[in-house]
Amino acid sequence: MKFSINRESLLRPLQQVSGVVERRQTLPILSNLLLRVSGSKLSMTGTDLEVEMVSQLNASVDLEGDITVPARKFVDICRELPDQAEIDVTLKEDRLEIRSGRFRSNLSTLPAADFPAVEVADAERQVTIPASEMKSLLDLTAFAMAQQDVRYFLNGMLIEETGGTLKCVATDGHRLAMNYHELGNGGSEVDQQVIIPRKGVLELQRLLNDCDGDVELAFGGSHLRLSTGAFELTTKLVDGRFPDYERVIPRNGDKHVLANKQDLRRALNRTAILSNEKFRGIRVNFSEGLVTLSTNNPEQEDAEETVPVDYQGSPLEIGFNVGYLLDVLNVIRGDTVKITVFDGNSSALIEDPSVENALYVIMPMKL
Amino acid sequence: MEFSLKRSDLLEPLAKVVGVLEKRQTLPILSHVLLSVEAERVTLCGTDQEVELQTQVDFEAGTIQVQAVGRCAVPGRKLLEICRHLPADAELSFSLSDARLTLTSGAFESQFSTLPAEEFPSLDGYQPPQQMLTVNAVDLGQMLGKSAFAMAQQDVRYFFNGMLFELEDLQFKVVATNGQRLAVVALKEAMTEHQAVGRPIVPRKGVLELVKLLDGVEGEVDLGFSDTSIVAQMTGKRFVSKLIDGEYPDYTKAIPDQPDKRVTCDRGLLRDALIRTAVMSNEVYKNVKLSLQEDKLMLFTNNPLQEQAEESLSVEYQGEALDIGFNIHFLIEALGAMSGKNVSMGFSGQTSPCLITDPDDAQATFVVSPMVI
Repeated sequence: MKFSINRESLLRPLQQVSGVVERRQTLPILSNLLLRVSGSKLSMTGTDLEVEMVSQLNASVDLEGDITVPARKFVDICRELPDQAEIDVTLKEDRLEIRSGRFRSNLSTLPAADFPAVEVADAERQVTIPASEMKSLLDLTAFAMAQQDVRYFLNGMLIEETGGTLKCVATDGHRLAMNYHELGNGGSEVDQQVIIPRKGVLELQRLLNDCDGDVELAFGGSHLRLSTGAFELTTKLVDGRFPDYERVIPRNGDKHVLANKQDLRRALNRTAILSNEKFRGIRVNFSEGLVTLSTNNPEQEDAEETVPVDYQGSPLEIGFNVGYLLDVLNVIRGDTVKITVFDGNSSALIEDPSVENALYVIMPMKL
Repeated sequence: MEFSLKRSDLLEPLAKVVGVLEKRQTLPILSHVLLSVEAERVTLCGTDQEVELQTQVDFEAGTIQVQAVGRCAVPGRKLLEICRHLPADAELSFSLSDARLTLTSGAFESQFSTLPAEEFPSLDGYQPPQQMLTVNAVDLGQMLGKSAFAMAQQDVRYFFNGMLFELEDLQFKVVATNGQRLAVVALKEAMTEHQAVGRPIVPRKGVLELVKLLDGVEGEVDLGFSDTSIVAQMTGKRFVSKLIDGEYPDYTKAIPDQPDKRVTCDRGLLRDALIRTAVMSNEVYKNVKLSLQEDKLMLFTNNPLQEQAEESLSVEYQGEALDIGFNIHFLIEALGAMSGKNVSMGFSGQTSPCLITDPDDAQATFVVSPMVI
């Protein structure tokens, strides 16, 4: 194997692919990247057995071949070489030689045949969506995923293609986020529903960060694959049944509050400081034209603030985890937020009135 | 106690004071900030019992009104967080009653539990300074900034976990070492009059806090020290640090005089080449081999996985060939602390330390001990 490539075209793809590689793992080969050179292409693969990322780029190839090398060291060397450096890579017996200018280094290798490949059955269904839309779906939903919950299927995100929409749902049992995008493809005959693990979601977000144009999602029996052209990310699916989220969304709310998002968010940020550090409870009182936020903590400290809002209805008191409210207000993009409640014991529905295809649910908290 | 002021009056002095508080502490009072309100003076004080910082709210703008004087200790981080989240032009009113401090600002109101001001610890064994000197804040900041990296961390030779402030014969030098590498930086301009004499050792935390505090400060700093503490006073701020009780070793013996092999090269290029080759260095020993030949310097690293890296650089060198080993990070850190374009290195032999100097800055000297290769 022998190829040469410019540092600037190699570095970013290399960093993306090695981002998947876990810092600590039990199998030495999992800390390596698979390099494969054929035709005029270099392909690099990183995996942690749950998520696999492949990048293809042009290189000037002298000799085809494949090998695996330690990801972290390969990245560190390429990063520390000067801008625009020309990098020559040659496999010499079981060492990979990297040369650039007056720098020369030999990396240890492991055989390409030992590299674990994710086995993918043929995709059953493919969907095309603009990268920016896909990213926004994930960004607006991911915060509600559980972390290390025993209900393992909550530690991920539901991605569903149904009736011509692509829908993302996440919940940790206390709050829920749901966003969808109209695909405009007329819909498929069979609904596709998959749960992708937390790590897969985070890697998808990272990849979509610097991506434009369309991306293609392929639903397989045990995998979901996202292709962007230059990159291909495959994630295993979580085997489990996602809760029936439609049942969680309250539809009986009759009290509607419209508030300025920034004002409400800032007031919540201030009052949150003197809430109980563990439970983070906040008391929210709705009254005609006003919402009053109050908190207190075991040190007998308290904070209170009133925010003018648009509300006509009977007074109502409801408790929340202030962190959950802030998480939602942090992702909503519009200037106004709409909160719909039924009573102090029912979940609240939060929406952005300027956006139709997003909704958030927060369960109340006993204070 | 009752007073009101603008958010902008309070935010910076408060943030500085909260910066010295430990995140986790055993005594509740150490998470508090002492708030003292006098007729024409509002001061804030925070401590972690090793260092103490007092800041003063600037009265000049005339936006501060004091209705009643008083003192109390309030939870520092919470007060700062609330101030941060209030609008930029907010007006803050404070009043203390029954050990509870009320803060109101517009539609926002909060109450803090407080602790009595008498319980607030001032630094143990604090004595008024006996020795005083005045230095330029920017110069002092640079001296500390260039040498702080060389201090030890949690070394049993506890005096290495700090920095020596050496004051003698119109000279002021700071010295830091961990036993294997050394940094000595002298004050840019020698003092014109005899100001102070002594060898106080300022602990690591004190040095790092002082570096933070001097960042962006212009004008003069008054330094004063006693047997147990050092005080740095600048406009609106008074910083106190305990001293390390111990004798700093005679560091001058560690500085090689007249190394006969002298190398000069571009500092940035050498540092970048070291950072690259460091990737393949042994993770435990971090060793690098330097091979000197006429006008050429070779760097070489390898590790137990039989991986290796090498790079050669053009340098100015006339002399016999030499192979010598170092901890690569000690070289990288010393080069990183310097500011000039070029670096000059002096060697005497395979077992003698390397003297690193900046041809453009005679004040700073670095020494790195060799390793067996």
